Amino acid sequence: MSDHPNLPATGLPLTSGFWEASKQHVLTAQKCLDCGYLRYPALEICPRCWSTNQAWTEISPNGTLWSYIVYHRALDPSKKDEIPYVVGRVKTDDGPVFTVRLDIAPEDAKVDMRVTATWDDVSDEVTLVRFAAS
Amino acid sequence: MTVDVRGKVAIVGVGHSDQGTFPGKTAEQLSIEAIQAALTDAQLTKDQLDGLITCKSVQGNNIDIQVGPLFGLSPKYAQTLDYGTCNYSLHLATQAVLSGLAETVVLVYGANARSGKFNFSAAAPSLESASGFVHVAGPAALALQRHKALYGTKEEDFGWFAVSEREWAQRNPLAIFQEPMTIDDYLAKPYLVEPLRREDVTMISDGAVALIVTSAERAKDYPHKPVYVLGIAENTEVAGDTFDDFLMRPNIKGTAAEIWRTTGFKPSDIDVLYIQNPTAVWNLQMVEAYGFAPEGEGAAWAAEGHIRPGGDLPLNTNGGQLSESYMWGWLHMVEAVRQLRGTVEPDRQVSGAELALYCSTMTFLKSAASIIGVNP
Repeated sequence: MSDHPNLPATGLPLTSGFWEASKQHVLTAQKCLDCGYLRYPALEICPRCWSTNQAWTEISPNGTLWSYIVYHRALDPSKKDEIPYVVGRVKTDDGPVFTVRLDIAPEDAKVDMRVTATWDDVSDEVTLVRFAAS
Repeated sequence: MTVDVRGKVAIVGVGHSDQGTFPGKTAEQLSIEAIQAALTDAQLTKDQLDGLITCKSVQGNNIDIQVGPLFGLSPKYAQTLDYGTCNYSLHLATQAVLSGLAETVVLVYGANARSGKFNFSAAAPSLESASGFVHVAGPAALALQRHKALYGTKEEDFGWFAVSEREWAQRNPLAIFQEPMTIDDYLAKPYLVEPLRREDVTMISDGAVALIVTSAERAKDYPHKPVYVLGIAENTEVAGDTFDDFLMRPNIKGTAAEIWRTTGFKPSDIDVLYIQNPTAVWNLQMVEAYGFAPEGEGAAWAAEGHIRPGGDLPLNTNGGQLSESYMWGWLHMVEAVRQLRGTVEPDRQVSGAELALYCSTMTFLKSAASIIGVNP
């Protein structure tokens, strides 16, 4: 844990389903069971139809890299041993967008390249989704 | 019913504290210093104010009921905006004066974020923060990288936003960053969050800024040439990050369309331009959204020199937030007023400036614009 301070809480009712699926290396989004809208991050109600019926649902682990950046300075001091690191904003094929770490070297990253989810088990409780070249 | 705001309200006083690091001074104390300076500028006493609009500091304090006890009087109208950027504050003051809620309003922003060691990267632990996606430089850099990919934007062009602000800052005694910086110096600087360099990102500072606003009729009795509010516009994307191009901030185009439509002005009418800019990406996005440069060509346009001292559209003549100080855009408005009065240092004064546009945003979620000028 000392290598990964500030990990998100995984036991909250609204988001526990996402973290449980992540532990199984399954990418999910919150689905409205009334209108079908898929959303991430989690919201208490569907922003389209205001339904409270929702479930974490498996979505495509594939997507397109909208953009990417390279952190050369540890703006979060707990990441100082990881710089430079690459973060990308990924639009998954089912719609939801994730802005997470990329397993892609800066010189290999390209806007609009195809990417696929990979997984980083950082603790017994927390697995973080990342994306790598498809 | 639409009320035409044009020429009905004017800015009659501006003031600010010193800018930098002031350990031991609270945001509210700095606010009073700025109010005092604005009162001196307007040759008013505090009992002649009947409105107080405070802007929350980046740390969350400086609300009206915290400033009030130091202010020492209770005006009939007091309000706080969570995110003033001076634009929202000016719009609220304009509405207060037009509606009769108050006649003479002081607006103020104060912060001690620098000496208070405010953590700009702080965020509730989430998937994104655990992935190292922190600080406003992150989303701003994502937007710039996308812009580069879509339009072929070059860093040697984009760098001119920061370089031009530095050139202006060298002419502004208040500016914190005054050491010379050429485009080659800029390109030699290391990346912070690539493709952004440290020079493309603001550095938080302590300080406060205040403006005094009153009706156009009353404004004629003040010592300085009144600077009139000629138009105000806002737009939002408060529903948040639900679509692909959210970080390109298309909501700004809505504010731009509205300010041009409601005032009848066009980009070529503007003499001096002000853009609130925690990062230089804000300059890039706004010069395009407001129509000063074609979409996708904002950086190449900046590299042509329009925005530099001597250029045909001086931008952030105070040095902006990249080189002057981080006052959430408030000093931009002070500078605009002084330029329109014709009272800044001669080497910085834009000759004949009569009309200014100030554009600001609340992160990726809201945008606002004001046009101010010397002719009602």
